Amino acid sequence: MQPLKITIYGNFWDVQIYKGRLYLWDMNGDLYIYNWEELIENIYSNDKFLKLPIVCGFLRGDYLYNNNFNLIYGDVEIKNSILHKFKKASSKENFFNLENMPLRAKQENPFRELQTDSEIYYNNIYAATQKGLLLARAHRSSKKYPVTSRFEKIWDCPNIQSVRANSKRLLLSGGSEGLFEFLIDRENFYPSMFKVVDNKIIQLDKRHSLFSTYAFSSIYNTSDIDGSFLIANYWESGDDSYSRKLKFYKVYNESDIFPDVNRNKGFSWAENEKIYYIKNGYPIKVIGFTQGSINNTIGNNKKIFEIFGDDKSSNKINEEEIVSAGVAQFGTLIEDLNGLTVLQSNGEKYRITGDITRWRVYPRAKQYTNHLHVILDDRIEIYSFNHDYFLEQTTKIYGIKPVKSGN
Amino acid sequence: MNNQTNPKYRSNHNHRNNNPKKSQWTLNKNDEIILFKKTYGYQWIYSNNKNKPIGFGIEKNNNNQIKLLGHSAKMYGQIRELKIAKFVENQNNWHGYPADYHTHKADTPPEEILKKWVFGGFIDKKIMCKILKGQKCNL
Repeated sequence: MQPLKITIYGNFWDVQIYKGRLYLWDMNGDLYIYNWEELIENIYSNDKFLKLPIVCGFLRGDYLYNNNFNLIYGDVEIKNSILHKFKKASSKENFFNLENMPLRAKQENPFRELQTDSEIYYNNIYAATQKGLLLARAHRSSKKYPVTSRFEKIWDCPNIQSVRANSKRLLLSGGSEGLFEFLIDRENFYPSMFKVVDNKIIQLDKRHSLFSTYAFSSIYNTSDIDGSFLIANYWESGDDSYSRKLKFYKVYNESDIFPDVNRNKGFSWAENEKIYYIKNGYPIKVIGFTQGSINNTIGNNKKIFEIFGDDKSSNKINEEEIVSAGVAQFGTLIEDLNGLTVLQSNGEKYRITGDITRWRVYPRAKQYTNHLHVILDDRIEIYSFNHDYFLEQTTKIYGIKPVKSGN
Repeated sequence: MNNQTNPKYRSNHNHRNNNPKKSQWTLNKNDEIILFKKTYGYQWIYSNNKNKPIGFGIEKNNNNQIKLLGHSAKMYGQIRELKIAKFVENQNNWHGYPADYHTHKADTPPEEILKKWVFGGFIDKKIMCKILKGQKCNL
């Protein structure tokens, strides 16, 4: 099944989508905020036959995962009709210029420089910039300034190159400076074993961090220099659900997770229950990570990590050329020097070539988990992958299981 | 920003003697100085958080490609080609070396200089983003 696609022409630098608004930063230092729902409505208003795939594709990525639909999916005629609609929608070309899009506001970038990375969490935009980790309040009702025009500085470290949020924590990858975490809610986190480098900022590890992701309450750090590792944490219950505390358990290096790995060879990355590893180009190894086993069977490493499978496809990927990687519900993504490959959860592969400035997936945004946003030289391409609804979620090699919460 | 009218520059031998802990120039000394003068002239210089001036330079070869300037330090494993120069000042004297942004975060040119390179046609925004994020790229 081909993905749906929307193309917006412009010279963009960064993108975010959050609660029905599309945020686009351009190279001139302007921030455009669009009414995403209105834009999507404009697309299907001309063809009501395609309303289902377009709405599910771009507005409600969670809708068709509903277990109550299993009876409907079991009806071959209905399932084929749905698939046919998605196929028709994917053949439709949707092109926009900034001028013909439903603009909510245009304002100056509140960070006053092109940010290295960004994340929107609990109505705040966190930006990694030369000035440090900054915050601007977003999703405001103001017509002129839906995002505050001034930033707040959280930390004056200029070296952050990647930002990820989850459970009131913010992961900050600092390249050779190491891995850090901003504890938005410090009360429930960590014993004092981690070094506090600034107010609510702790250093998790001094080793190189290219980027990092959350695997439930644990953390996976990816490095193409020092070797990757997982910081295993667990929640310790308190008297009530609000008083639980996050506890550190231990660090697992690649050699603990993938026993036949030599240090500094290969490339690995993770998200939630999946950890991927490439060595010597082929095959891609997949390890299943069970967060719950840390809580219940401390000391029993075998249950925390289990071999999920190998990808025995004939396509080799040279780990020396890997730039970045990520995981979404619809598959796993690998960016190399010449493009981006989506290894889909249904076994198919989708390749995007061209000068890719930046790409994003939104695995924690319930309504946009099927989105892939790719910024190219003169446009942004917004993809929606919709093959995953009809797959068995517990056995798929590529992609994570549907998540519950958003931000 | 440094306002010296005639900055003093001296090539540092540690970046020309196969020191395994230091990146090494492949550019000859004369071209190294020319690159510094270009960097200074274009004001590809910023003040770091300690208010020290730091410069970053690149240039193109005859094929309009970004020029190879040197190689990464041997102690960091696989030798990489380096195409960005970093220039630092100490008591009014400057010296420089090939910068390895991939392994050294401090060798990453700041956004303001990278943007000048983009609008000056030296690199495109794809490369700018990769450098800021510490990622590999076809510089």
